[in-house]
Amino acid sequence: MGSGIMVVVFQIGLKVGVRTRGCNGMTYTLDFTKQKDQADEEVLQDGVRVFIEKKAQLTLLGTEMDFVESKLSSEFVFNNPNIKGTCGCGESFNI
Amino acid sequence: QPILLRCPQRSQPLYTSLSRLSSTSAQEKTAESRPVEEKVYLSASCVRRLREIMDKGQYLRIQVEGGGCSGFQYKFIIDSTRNEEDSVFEQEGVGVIVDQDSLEFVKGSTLDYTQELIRSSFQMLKNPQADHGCSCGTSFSVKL
Repeated sequence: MGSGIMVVVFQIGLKVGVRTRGCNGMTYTLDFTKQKDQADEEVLQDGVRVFIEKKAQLTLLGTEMDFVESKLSSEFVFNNPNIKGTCGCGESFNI
Repeated sequence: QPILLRCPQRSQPLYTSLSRLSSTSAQEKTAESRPVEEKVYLSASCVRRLREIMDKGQYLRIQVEGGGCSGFQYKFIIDSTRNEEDSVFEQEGVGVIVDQDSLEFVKGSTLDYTQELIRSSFQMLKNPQADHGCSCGTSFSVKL
C-alpha cells in the first residue's frame, strides 16, 4: 500500500477446512478465499462456490453444510455422518 | 510385655502454627487480589445485538450449569420473567439478568456478541472465576 496502488482482489468463494483444535480433536474452519488450490475440491451449487481443502476432504465426505440462525446465535453447521463424538457445544469432533 | 505408646512431644502447640499460617495467607490475599465486582459487563456489540433481538420486557438470562467438557457451561435464554433474586444489568435500554447462584460464577466478566464468518454468538469473556475453557468458550472450569 506504500506505493499508492490499491490492489483489489475478489473473493471467489469460501474455503472449508479442518484443524486440530478443541477438546475433541478437530474443528471446522471457514474462510474467504481468493484462489482455488490445486488439490481443492470445488462444490458449486445455486451459484455459490465452496472449496474443500485437501486435508478436509476425507473427513467431510457426505457432510451437509447448513446455516442455522436463531436470535442468540447464527452459525454454519456441518452435519457430518463420519463423526463418532462431539464436544458439548458441537464445535469440535472426532472421527 | 507391656506396649508403651508414646506421643511425641510437640515443641510448639498446633494451634499457634495453624493460626500463624492462616494469618499470613489472609494477608497475601488482601494484598494481591482486589474484590471482584458483583456485576456483568456488556460489550458494545452485545448491546447492539440485544437491541436488535429483544422485545420490550424481555431480558437475556445468563445461567451457569454443570456440564460441558470443562465442568461448567454458560447458557443463554431469552426470558420475560424476572425473579426477585435475579440481578439485572442494564445498559442503553437492554437488560441482562443473572440468578444469584450463577452470578457467583460469572461476576466480573464481560458478555460479548462475537461475530465471525463461521458463527456469531453470545460469549462470556474475561471471566475472573474461570480457569481455562473449552475452545468454543461455552464451557469452563472454575479457579480454586
